Amino acid sequence: MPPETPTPPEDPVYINSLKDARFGMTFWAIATTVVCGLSYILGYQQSGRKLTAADIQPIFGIPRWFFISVLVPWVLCSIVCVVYAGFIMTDEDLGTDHTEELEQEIQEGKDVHELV
Amino acid sequence: MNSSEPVQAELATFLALILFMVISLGLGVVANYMGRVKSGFLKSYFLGNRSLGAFAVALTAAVMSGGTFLGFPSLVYKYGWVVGLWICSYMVVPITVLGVLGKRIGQLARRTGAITLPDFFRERFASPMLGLITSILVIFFLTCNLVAQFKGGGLILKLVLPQSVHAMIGTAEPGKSAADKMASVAAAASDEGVQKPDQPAQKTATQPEPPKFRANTWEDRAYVLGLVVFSVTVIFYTAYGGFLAAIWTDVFQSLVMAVGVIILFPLAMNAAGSINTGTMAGITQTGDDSYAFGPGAQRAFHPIGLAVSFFVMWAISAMGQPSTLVRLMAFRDTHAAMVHHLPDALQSDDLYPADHDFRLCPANSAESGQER
Repeated sequence: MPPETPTPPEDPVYINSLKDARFGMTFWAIATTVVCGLSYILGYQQSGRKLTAADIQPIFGIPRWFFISVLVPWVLCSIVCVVYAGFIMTDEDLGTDHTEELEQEIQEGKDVHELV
Repeated sequence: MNSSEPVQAELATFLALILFMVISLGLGVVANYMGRVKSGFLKSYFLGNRSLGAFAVALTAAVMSGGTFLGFPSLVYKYGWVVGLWICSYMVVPITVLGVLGKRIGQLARRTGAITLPDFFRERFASPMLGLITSILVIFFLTCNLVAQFKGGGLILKLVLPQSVHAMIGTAEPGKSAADKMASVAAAASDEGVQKPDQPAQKTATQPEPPKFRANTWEDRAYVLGLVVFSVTVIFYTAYGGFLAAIWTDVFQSLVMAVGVIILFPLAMNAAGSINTGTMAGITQTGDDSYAFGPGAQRAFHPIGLAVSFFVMWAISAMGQPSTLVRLMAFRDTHAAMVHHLPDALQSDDLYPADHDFRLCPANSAESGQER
């Protein structure tokens, strides 16, 4: 029976990055759906529905569809980004920087295969 | 002052640009000095010692391009409000870039000691061939990208050259003001113009002929001069000051843009009357109500399927840009990367919508000028 390979401890940076990535992609999917969906419903010319200047219905001078479908989600997204980054995302120790070692090896003229 | 009088602001514009370039060059020199003070040339020159703080990360996005200054405004003039939807997926870029790649790229860059993107791929996957392929791809695609940026820079510098310089190099066009020249850019950037062929422009007797756009070729000495000045400036501060110079000049340019928008927005509002008046002027000029709606005036510039694609393009695929990735390799710590969301959000929240809005207003100013 082969000896069991010890399982390396899970990297907290990897675990938390995965959580952030899931949040980011979910958030992106929701934003895409809401913005494009609302824009199409409120602000796009469609067959059988011709939008004219009378349909602009400006809010603060901005066409209603643009204000509701783009500007409001833009502000909300920014708030969510700031809240997530400020209060939910965790600060991580990214580890030791090994750049000096690489630089030293380059200066010593080591072959790239040795570096790998 | 009568708004129909040409704006003779060439000297002031030219001096402002000279000042801008001198400051950029100065930042390159200071960055070079700072790099020498700290140990480790490669890390300092290529990554600024991995010391980017929150504001630097936020304000050095790859959006400071020819597209920002020339492409985006020309699209707004031509197609109207739907261009706001075209650009708006920047609302989720901070969270997708940092959430998906940020910490891991920062961690792996430190772990492998990678300084450049090819370093990163070569060390991470233990494959020199992958490093080589990455280098070739980066060189090829960034060359294509930079051709457009340098052309845009040369074009802008050509436009702000004062008449005396034009006279010196034999490209003077008598009576052409800075405003006229800027109008040339808008006309040039629009490949078809905003007037339908079957809808002749409603010209008045006093309306001057629109300035003819001159092709920017090697025979165009003003363009070549602008291109040379732009290229020498950018290449000098980048090559001499390294990554830190590029970052500092990016931050400087972002601040100039932010201040410019803050100043120009109320001025444009004052000249136009309101955003809605600008919209109505755009509709009149294009002869198409779709200027205020999607998919855009004159033709289906941004159908809804393309709008979804742009959310993928700006927010997902753009996170792999070398200019973005190298910043993720260079942030100081995850705290800086996290805090950068605030200035980034403020920047994307204010700059693009405000920029978009005041682009709509000069159209109305021109209309008002004609009526007078």
